[in-house]
Amino acid sequence: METSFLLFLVDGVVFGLILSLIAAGLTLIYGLAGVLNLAHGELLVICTATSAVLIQFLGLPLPAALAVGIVMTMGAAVFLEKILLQPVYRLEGEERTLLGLYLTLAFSIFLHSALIVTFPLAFLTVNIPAPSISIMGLTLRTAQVVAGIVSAAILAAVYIFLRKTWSGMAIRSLTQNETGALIVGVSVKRYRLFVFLLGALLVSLAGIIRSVVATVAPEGGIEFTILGLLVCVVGGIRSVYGTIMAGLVIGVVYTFLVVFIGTYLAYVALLIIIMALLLIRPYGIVGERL
Amino acid sequence: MNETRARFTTLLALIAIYSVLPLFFLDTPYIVFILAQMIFFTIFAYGFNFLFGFTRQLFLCVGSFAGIGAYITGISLRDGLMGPVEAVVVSTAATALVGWAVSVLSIRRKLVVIFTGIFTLAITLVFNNTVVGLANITGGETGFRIRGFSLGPLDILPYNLRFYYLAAAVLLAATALSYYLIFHTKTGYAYRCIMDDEVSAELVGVDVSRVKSMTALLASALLGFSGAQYGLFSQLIAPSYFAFATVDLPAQIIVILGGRASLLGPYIGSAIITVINEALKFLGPLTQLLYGLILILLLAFFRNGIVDFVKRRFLPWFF
Repeated sequence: METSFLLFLVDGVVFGLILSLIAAGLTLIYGLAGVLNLAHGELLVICTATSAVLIQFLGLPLPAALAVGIVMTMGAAVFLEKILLQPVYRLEGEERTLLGLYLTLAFSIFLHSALIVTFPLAFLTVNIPAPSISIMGLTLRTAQVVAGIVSAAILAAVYIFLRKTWSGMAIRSLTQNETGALIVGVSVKRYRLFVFLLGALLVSLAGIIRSVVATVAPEGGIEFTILGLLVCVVGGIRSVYGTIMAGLVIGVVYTFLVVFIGTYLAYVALLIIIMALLLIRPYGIVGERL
Repeated sequence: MNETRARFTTLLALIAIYSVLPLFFLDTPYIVFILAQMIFFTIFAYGFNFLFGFTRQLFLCVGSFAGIGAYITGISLRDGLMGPVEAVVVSTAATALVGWAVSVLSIRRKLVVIFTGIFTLAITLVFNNTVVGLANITGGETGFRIRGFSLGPLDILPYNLRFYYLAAAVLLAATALSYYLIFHTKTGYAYRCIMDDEVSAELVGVDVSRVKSMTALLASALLGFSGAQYGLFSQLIAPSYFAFATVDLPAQIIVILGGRASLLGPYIGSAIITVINEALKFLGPLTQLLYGLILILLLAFFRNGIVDFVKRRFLPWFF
């Protein structure tokens, strides 16, 4: 019992890290552009579906296919930011959030139906050939360990990037006070595009890592979007640190719920838990106000 | 006074049009079926319009609310748990309660409009998962059939026509009630204030949270009520009938195309969408992709809808 408990814990942590990767992009985009990107999960699927098509049907080597997938995802993000969301930026306040929400929702529906109509069979799984390993009496799949370590490393890199580099500080300053950042010479337009690209990169990496430990189906986009959004809400929507913490919590809780009450009802229980959590701490677990 | 008369005439005209319309197509049941479906979607759009158009509560779970109504009614009729009237009453009350709770929760927690959106989107997901997960009760992905249900005196009419008139009666009653609420009580002023700015609405003495939660209660009740009938009308209750893409998306397009916060908008929007939908039936699964595209284009270029357009151009008394 105890060993399987630990295995589920590892499972949950890996899933949580993947969710954090998805939610980090959402948080950054929301913070900087004021748009809650409901097409985020579909971006993930663009990456995995493109790679899967390239591997399964065109026989491209794995790294090349993944690279093309990431580039495609970033292309979609550029289209979203540069063309689709242009009318949104002319608005202010609530109007902006609403129109942004709607446009990305419409875009996500568009992508979703385009993907499942065109590539209904583009499942992506990446097999890491190495066998299971044992650490301290636990037998772990190598794939899982690799996935966990890689996503933790990416998250750490994002965190350090936001804290230490000039661009990272520029992004944080824009999130906190757009006018102030403009006055000291930070270009909103440039960093908006940058953040969309970064979000797309993170979400496609999340997709690839997810496909190392599980299968990513072309219709799974909306599920990732919603889980990512829940992580954002629980983490306090403006804070990347909170997002990482919330991702871990939700990942672990969700995995245990799946184990104990089944896949479908796990969502119900998760949502009830999150509702209760929001009632107690409406500004997320790290408590940053909006 | 003149405006009241104009509104009254509009309402009478609607009643006349909607009672005569199917009589032209009596020998083609398919068209009556499409018309009945159109009315059900107009009702769903009405619910969404009240939630989002008038009080800015972005409920992305219209389909699930209709589904809650349909499943409760369907299951209790199938298993003989309740009589038809009780079943519909219970499902209406249950849906109203859920809608009210969501609304109160989001008002209490001061959730911004997007959080309500996320929350209700999660409810859609939860509804779908619950239905599929409890397969031994709900029939899972394939759903269950419900047949041979009697509508009392309406039974002399052909099947589709029965439900057409039932739904039309619900829709017109809802419209009449909304006309009354908006133009003859203070609700209309409250809606207008809330649409402009919630904080100043609160300042001039509008009880914003009460107006919002009551609207959510009524709109969800309408959704649950008509959802129950929609389930009986379709004769098959399955999750795909109440999915986001099948109900919420058309309802949103109808509302935005017709005009947010307008009482006639959903009628116009649903008529146009029905015609487009029938004309493009040959596209099959691509229709959804087209819906996404239409929604993007509408939002980018035609955000205020037809009613607003006409109102500005031709008829200042239209609203």
